[in-house]
Amino acid sequence: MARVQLEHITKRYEDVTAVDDVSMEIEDGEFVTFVGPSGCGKSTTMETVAGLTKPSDGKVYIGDREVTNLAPKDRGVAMVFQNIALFPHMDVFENISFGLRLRKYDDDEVRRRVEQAADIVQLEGMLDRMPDEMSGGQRQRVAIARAIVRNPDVFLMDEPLANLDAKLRVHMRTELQRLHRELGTTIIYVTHDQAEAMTMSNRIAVLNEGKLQQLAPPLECYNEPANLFVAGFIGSPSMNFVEGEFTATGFESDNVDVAFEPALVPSVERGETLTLGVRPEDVHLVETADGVTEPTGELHATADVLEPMGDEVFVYLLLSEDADRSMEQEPATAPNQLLMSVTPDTDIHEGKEVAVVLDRSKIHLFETATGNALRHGLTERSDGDSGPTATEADS
Amino acid sequence: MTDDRSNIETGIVGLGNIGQYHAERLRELEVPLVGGMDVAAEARRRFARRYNVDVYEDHQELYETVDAVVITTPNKYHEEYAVDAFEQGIHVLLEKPLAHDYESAARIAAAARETESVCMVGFNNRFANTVQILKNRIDRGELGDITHVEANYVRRRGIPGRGSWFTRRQIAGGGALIDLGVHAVDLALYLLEYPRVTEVSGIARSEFGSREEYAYLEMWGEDAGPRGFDVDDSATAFVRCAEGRTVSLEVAWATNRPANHEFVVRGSDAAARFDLLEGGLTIHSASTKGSSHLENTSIDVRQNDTHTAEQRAFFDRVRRADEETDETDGSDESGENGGNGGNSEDSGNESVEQALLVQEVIDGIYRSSDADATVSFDE
Repeated sequence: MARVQLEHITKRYEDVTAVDDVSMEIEDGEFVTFVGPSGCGKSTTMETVAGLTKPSDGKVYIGDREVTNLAPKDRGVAMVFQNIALFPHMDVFENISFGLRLRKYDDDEVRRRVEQAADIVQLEGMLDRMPDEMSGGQRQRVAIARAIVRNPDVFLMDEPLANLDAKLRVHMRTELQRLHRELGTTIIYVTHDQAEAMTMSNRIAVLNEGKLQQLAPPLECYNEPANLFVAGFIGSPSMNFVEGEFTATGFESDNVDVAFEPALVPSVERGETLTLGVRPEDVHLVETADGVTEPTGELHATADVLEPMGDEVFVYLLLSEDADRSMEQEPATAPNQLLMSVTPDTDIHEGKEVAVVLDRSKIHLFETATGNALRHGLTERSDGDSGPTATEADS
Repeated sequence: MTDDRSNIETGIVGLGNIGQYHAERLRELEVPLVGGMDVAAEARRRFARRYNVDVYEDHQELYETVDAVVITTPNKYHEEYAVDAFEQGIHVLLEKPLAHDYESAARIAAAARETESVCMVGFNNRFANTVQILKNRIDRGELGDITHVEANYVRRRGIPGRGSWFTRRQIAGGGALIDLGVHAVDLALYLLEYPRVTEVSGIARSEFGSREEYAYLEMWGEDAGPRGFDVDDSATAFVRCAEGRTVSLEVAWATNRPANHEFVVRGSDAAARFDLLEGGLTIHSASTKGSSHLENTSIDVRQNDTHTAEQRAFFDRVRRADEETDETDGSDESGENGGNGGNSEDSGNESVEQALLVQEVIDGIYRSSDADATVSFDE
């Protein structure tokens, strides 16, 4: 077991900077997920830990040892990839023990470790099966067992569940959490699936365009996103964003005004452009807003489109009737749209005129120019931890 | 350090034509050939008679007697023989292509990253004197920035043994493109210093192999006619790399045009042209000094046996690896977490990684051809 430290890692290809000055410290035994859109640099960052990619600048430490220039096999890491790379000519036992036999362990030790690993991933009794006799989920367990037998300091997993069907993926998620609990080994996990990131990790590292945006526990990324990118990326459907102006009375835009004491954002000048963010579940119909202790003033809107999801209903609200309907635009960017989620028993239908309020304690303010978060929650009595997070990367 | 290779006991896996071709060259290099393996009894008998060595039906028996192997089996079986050799610490010279498909190639590469064995992929054309001279000039900057490579590996009538494994997709993974295309793609990327590949577009055709009246003058192996021929016999492709560098590719076992093994390497300051069959190298440049002029410099090159040169490079690496192992022996008996020193700075098996990219390009061309569309390579 070991901590992993990245120190100013940059990876440049001929014409692309895939990873741009990423630094982070992953603690011994921690489960950290790298998440971000395709091309954000998450896989490349992990490859620098694995030793599959040499960084252009920066250093990688595993434990107390600098490993930047070490070959993958000398780093004490074990990898599990999306493509389940089992050797088709070897049975399960031989596949799991491949790395051990390369390292010339004696037969008893090999058998002991393989049986223990097979036990952990629940493959007992299947050691003499060939890969083509197994299901996708079973094959992925073999791949994980192959990593376990090496007794690595760090597990590196790059989208290991991506090729499995949806049901199995959810099941394997809990299996991986159990595995992490049992082994206590540091795990770095790469995925583009934020549900995986949110459910399994101690902390998630959100990357975009090669830069680390935020490294924090999942709920902190959700509740206190460091910037507009994290706010928009984490959470599905995405947070609503409204651009407006900072005035003497608070936030003003064409369709949404939210009054607040300007002293809540002392660093901002009057007249500056701000982006207000609010999640769909923090938009409430006036008649069902009893639980919201500090609502904003009422906003009047028309329910434009309803998307029933079963456990909740997404309601696309049009804030001003005379404005053009901009259905082509993402709700997050259309200035007159607001997405609200309500329970299925709510009395609402398409075309209905409604009044809504926002939960002031869940409103986020961002500096539009830089995207940086200024304030999480617009309640007057600040509880002290609603400012931008300390883990925020420069962006 | 000496050139002594007499203690590297070597076996051949796959005793067909190419296996024997390698066996002949081992003798020239004074590498001890100690055995061979083939699943076919006739191939074993022929090899034993010709080289007077032990032959085996089971590769594991051969592996108990050797330090290194040359694997020349049909593509589909490369993985089993190579990976099993790595596991025993046996060094591997692996005939191209890396495997019959990308997935198998990726598994071989993953295993090669872990092993202490030397593994080299048989891209023998790199060792042609012409190519080495040109590479040296490129490295010295004489051609400026290399922008484009025209790569041709075109036979007019040269389908290898119709009815043999070469012409069966299930075993070979493809036809002319995987058999000859790997040479052309490797040479082009090698001269471009293995850039990042961003997309490929291409088409693989099957026009001649399945004809009853296929006309040819000679054939590598016997002709069993068109039955079972289910691979491509020519391909055309365009490969886009980082920074706008490109490769255009023409590959054929059979086509209605004269044979052509010409490579043109175009740089910002000069271009180079060579033909793998004819030998010789020409540098094309221009200048305004004195008066504007175009210059074609012809370089005479001694033709060499590229397979011998390739084997020499392989056995030199094996010897160096063995010397390193001797030096570090006993320093780490536990093997815990694989911390055995040795090849730590550079595993040295970079030709395997390069062969994996070649395989990805070939696979991309086949996918592009099937989909009738360009195929992008992700991050």
